[in-house]
Amino acid sequence: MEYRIALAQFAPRLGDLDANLALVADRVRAAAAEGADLTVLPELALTGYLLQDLVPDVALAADDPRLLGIGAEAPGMLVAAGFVEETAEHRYCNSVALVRDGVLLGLHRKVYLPTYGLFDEGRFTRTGDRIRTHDAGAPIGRIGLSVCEDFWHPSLPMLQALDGASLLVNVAAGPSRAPGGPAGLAAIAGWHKMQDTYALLGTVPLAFCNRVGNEEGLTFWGGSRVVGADGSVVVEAPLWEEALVVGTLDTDDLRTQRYGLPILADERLELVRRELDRVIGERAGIDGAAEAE
Amino acid sequence: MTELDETAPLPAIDPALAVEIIVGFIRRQMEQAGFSRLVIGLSGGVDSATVAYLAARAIGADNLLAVRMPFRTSSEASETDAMRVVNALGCRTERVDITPMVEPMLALIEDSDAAALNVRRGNVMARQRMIVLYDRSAAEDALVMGTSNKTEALLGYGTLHGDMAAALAPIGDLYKTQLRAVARQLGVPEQVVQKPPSADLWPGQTDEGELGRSYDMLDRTLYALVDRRWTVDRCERAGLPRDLVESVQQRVARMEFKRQLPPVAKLSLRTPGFDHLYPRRRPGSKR
Repeated sequence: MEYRIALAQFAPRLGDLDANLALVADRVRAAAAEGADLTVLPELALTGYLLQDLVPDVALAADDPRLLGIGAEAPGMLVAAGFVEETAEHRYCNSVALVRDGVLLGLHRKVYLPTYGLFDEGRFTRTGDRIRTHDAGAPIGRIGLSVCEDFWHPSLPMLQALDGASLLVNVAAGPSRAPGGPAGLAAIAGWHKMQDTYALLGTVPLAFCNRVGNEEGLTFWGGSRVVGADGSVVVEAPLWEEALVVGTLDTDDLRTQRYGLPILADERLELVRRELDRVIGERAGIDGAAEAE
Repeated sequence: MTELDETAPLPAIDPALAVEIIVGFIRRQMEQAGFSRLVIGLSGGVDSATVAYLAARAIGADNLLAVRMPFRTSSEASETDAMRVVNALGCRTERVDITPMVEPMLALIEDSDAAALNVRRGNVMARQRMIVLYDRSAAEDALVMGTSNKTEALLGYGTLHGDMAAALAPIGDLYKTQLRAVARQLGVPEQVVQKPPSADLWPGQTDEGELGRSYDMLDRTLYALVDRRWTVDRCERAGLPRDLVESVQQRVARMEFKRQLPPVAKLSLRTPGFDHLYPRRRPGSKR
């Protein structure tokens, strides 16, 4: 069964929740006109990226009507969008919500907050502590959500694939360094290689939506894509500019791919777990960990 | 230089993409700040010419005021080149002779050390130009465009609160050698791109004469030390002269203060720079 994914790469306005809700509504309408079943918006689509101490000012609870109202322009459409979440315990997270018809179907809190080089996320937001998948019903099935840097840790998408994800969705705000130079081109190629590899090794299709635009001197590179379960690119948005691209996936392709390449089913989870326990014990210096075997 | 191109290359640049990114940056900053006009000090050199071209492309030549601010010793060629840029862009321009503003101050300056005297005189001129630009920016309801490049910023080759004072630094992450490629991409007159860079603070002054090395060698060294985080030993193995690498490394460290806001003695609960951290503009802060 076919379904259509729209990737809306745009430039959110820094710190301006109302303006961004309007921009998101525009894109949802455009995606609906393209017949999209799922629309993916970038990381922190509702707030912009370099928020610093604006974080509490723009945070929303996961049950806030403004968040749940995303996609109201397109009944029946799934929408994934990044926002700043304030939990009931007043913990501020860089989260992505999966919403349909005013109902929150899934929520992921960014697990890996880059706090090195030009990144300072760990200073202003707190890490998530769950890696799950969320049932979106037919035809898509279970969706594994993640945010940008989460994808630099292969354990996260692989866990989601093993946990039954039939689609991975990564929302991103990737700033460019040395754009157009060898290092900058290599960084973008690295992102794309990683996606192809996760799709291929997880035998799972993937949607990646990266923002564009400039904030405080940082320029975000776009290049959003849908990748099939065989690691091939279904659709790719241009670099640097706003775009809405739509890719079609077929659930039959997933079925065929997983029969032909049953690596996910063959994964030796009990073995992985035993060796992981050993590594964790050794790294923590727990006596006897090396002999656990 | 072909051997060094392999081992210690100049920083690469995609000039067309750089133009696109900088133009987007200028537009976004103007929009966030709520301004539609820019003021720039046009010297006739490649840096300010390039910024003028970028500004005109971002906001339209009609919204750009290029101020030429000669001192009595400034070279005629600088004025000719500045007018070449103005005519090519069709932007508005104004000539403000800083001589009568600067001379009373210079008359008060004495120094037994000739080099120190040159620096002090140069700083007075650079700061006087800043005063003129900021005055015009208030009159024009405009922002002041910075014209410092990355090579200058890293080497601290600029005057604090003088040519380094600006609302935006559009070419602040472009090395001098990259900047020339961007200038050509924009169509800056070849004469301006090629002439020896000079602050024109006294007759015969050139950047490369003052810095003691060519921009080519400085940029190779800075790119290796700063962008690639190479050690001095590794730079030397790549064919860069050790004395050059060490002097550049030392100068970058010595000039760190010029690239930062002044330190604040923290006393309160919440202090800008430490734990009061915001984007420069946020909703509601626009004029």
